[in-house]
Amino acid sequence: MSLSHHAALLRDGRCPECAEPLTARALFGRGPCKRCGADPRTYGTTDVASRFEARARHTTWIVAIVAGLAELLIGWVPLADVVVALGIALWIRLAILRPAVSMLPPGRRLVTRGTARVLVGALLAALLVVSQLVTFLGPLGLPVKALLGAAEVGLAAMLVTRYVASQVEREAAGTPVEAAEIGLLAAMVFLLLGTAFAATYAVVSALSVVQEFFGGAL
Amino acid sequence: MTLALLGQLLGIAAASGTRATLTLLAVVLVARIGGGDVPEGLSFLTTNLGLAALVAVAVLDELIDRDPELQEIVTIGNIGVRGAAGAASAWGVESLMDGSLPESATWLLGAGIAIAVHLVRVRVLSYVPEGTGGLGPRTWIAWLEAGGVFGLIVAVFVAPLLALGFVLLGTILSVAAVLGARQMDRSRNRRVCPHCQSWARKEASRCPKCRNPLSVERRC
Repeated sequence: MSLSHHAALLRDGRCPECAEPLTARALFGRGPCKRCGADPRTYGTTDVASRFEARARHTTWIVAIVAGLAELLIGWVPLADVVVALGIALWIRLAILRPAVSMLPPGRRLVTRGTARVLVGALLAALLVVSQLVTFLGPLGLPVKALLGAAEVGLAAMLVTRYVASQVEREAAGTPVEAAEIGLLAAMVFLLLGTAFAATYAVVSALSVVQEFFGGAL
Repeated sequence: MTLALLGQLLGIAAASGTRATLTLLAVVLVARIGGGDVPEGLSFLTTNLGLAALVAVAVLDELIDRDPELQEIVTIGNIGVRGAAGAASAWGVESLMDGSLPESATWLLGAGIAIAVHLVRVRVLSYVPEGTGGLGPRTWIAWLEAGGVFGLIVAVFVAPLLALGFVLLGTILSVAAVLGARQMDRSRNRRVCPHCQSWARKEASRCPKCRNPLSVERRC
């Protein structure tokens, strides 16, 4: 049997011999396949992290160039950056994040995916704010906006790639998820829930005041 | 109990089995906007604080629902949440619409249907691959489901008989989906091992059960 078939199964997170999904331990060469007992190390699992990083680096360049071109072409349309940012966020998620996190066990996958999403969201939100400010430069601002967009998107993709690759490397080395990583993610979720609570309470209270003012007619 | 009320109770409980907090939020909003009477046990939820808390929990529920790992972590809790939301939603709807049924019967019906829908849903989703290279089928299903639940909640309050129809159709489709998915997985991805007659994947070069070598029928 050719090595490429076994390697393709392994990249897909499946046993190279029985083709059933592998547990995280087996995928990273720390144990045999639970179903058939095959040893995935025979087919080489140690370069999972470097293979991912090489592929993701290629994607980073494409994402940065596309973001720059998109800003140059439609940057003059008010708030078009939002559409570009959403598209880029989706691209990073599908091309970089998803293939990598599918190789991780549930606990680390949860932490990695959550943190990376917040990282991408924060960086793209910063891009939106900066690019809106550059709009004040008028037509001259367009090339600046394109450069800024390409640089920031490139930076976001690079940071996400490095972060995810480091998680894949740590998993391969058998390093457990730190309590601080879980705490950071939990804090971010609490912040999101707190914001949802506060925003709803403010809106509902304001509506109650308006309703009271109109004598319950609303 | 009228057929319309049955449709409302089954519809709201089935919706709770899929989107628990969002369904309860819909019931509370209808009670608040329409000025209907909800049971005293649920009246806190119609206050400003209660509504805000419900929205925050709905956001959390949605986060969990879209993340397979979080769902794995809260498997048992999820059953409890769906059951409780189903009981509370059915209780609220029954109180808003009729108010003559015994409370315990409403709770049992709401919780039972919500938990049953949740368990069938988990079973169906176990056959759906997550996908790694694009918008996977689970993402599409989540969007379709969210739209379906929204339609079902609207039907519960606007056209109860239509909601009953939705639930009956959904039940038939779910059973067909479970059986069909298993059959499809076998016919598309598996073949019978000549040594032990168990189902092995077509890409396999070794049987996972008897561990005898197999010829690869499909290459990656």
